[in-house]
Amino acid sequence: MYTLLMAFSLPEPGKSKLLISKSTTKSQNSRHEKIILEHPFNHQMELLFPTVLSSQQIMDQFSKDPFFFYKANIPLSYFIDRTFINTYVKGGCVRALSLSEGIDISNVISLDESGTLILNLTKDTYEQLGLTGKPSKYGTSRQRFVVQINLLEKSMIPGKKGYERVKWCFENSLTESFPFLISFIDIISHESKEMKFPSTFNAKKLNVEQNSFLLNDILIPEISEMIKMNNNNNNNDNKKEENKWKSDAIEIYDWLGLVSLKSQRLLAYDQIDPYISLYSPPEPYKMGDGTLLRWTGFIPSAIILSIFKSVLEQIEKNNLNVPWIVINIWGFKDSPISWNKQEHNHFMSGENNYSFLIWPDGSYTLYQALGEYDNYSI
Amino acid sequence: MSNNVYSSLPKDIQDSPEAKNERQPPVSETTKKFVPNFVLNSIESSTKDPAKIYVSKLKGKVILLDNPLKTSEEKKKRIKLQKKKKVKVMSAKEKKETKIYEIPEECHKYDLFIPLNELWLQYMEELHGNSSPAVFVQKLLKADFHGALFTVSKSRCASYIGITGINIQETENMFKLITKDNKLKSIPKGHSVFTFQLKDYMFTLYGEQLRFRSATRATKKFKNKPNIDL
Repeated sequence: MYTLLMAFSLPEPGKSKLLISKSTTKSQNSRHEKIILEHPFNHQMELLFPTVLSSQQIMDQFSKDPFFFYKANIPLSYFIDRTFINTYVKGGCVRALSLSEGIDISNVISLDESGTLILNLTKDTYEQLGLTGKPSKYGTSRQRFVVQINLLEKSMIPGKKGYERVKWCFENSLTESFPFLISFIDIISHESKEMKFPSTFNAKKLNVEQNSFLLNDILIPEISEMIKMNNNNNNNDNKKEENKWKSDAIEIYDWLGLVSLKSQRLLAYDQIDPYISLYSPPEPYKMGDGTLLRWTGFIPSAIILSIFKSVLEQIEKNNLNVPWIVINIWGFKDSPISWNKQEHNHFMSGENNYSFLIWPDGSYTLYQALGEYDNYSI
Repeated sequence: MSNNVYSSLPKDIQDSPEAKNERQPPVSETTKKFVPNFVLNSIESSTKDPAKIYVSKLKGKVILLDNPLKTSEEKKKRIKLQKKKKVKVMSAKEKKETKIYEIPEECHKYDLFIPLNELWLQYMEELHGNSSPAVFVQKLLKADFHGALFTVSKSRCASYIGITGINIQETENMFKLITKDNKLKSIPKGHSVFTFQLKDYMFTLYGEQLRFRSATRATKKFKNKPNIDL
């Protein structure tokens, strides 16, 4: 019996992770800028206000110059072209992510803002490519490989051995064009800039879609009550209080998720059979209205940071007269990296999302939700 | 020389007095009558129908061309001689020490092996003939690959991919390719896929399946084996 158990000792099943932390933007060690900028591939952004915003207010404060991106069929040799490196990688902030059937079954290529080309390849492609990489940390062992090429390295100059090898590989073994989402941002003005592509790439310019929704008569928890309670108890190191804060924070995150879904369970006059749902918002709550602003597309993190800053400004000046504001960001599920170039993959869910809950005094609670196959939190 | 046997004697001998005194040998009357007829008959019968003779005497029969030994004494002698002549074979260690199978560095030149490649192409053309692709593949399996221009198209090791060169030595587990920049590259057959071009066709060799010495490969009976993984 004992030997049997030994033979079948399976590794523990992985779990999705939710990291919760709190800090204040006034602190010098605050990570909010880092968290936003190190998360390169953002699919959707949402702002939640527990009040009604008129369309005029929205226009004034959150609709800046439209930011856009391109969808184009790009062969990999385009990225190592010297003109591309000089005009885009060195001249600003360029990001690209290939769209695929899924990172667990096909090839995904991405270019992040630091100029690192990351190729997350299937074994079959890797064995044809000819560039050395590392086996992926996730999935069946040695069935996926990750190749990283730093385009800003000194050796990436035509004529040098390494460069010529990469060029040969992209021109002879992996000549396929991948459908890419690509955006280019000016570092100083944080605005989307035009890119030029050869006509064979079939490039399409796409705008980031902006929508706003009004949520009438929903149950809104008084979140600031909770954080205040927590602030008072910060001094005495009571484990019980900490656990309470934890469960409160998780309950709020649940509620935030339901708001994003525009769930009917949040309506004040909702009458649902308790057999189906027993949900009630975290207490204390009261009836109110909310506004949801949503951007969908390939959103550069520099733009998220500028919106974060304008939100912070608004709430500190108390222009909107709201107790808190929430920013939700969803990363691409098939992104090969989550934060800080840490490997990311898709198993049951490829989530790499984060949310900021911001209070008028500049303090915030940060939620980072990560799928099972992610190296960031380990 | 053989022509000179029946030529007439030189004139000075013919004119010599001894020759004139020479008499013809005495032959009996019966012989004189019998011999010319007999000779003529026997010649005629053999020249009459060579096909018939071939059918009756040669067809389907094994004929030993060698001169067989008849007595046991002679056999013993020859066996003794053979024993003395027994070939001395180098041991593996000696082969290694003398580097007999190693190609000296001064011969690592691509140009040196271009004629070998041309020869190989001729050989392939001959081998191909008019055979159908399926038959040709069977032939390829047993063909000699010395002189083939191989390219590594797939490999578990990334740095082997894309190496192109003339195969100048085949061992059980290696192909040794000489590249255009005059470098000798040893590529393991396992975990690699090789391609080569013949006229308009591209052929792919799965190295994993060819892990035999070229000599044993030529006589081996191959069984179908799926290629699961590189």
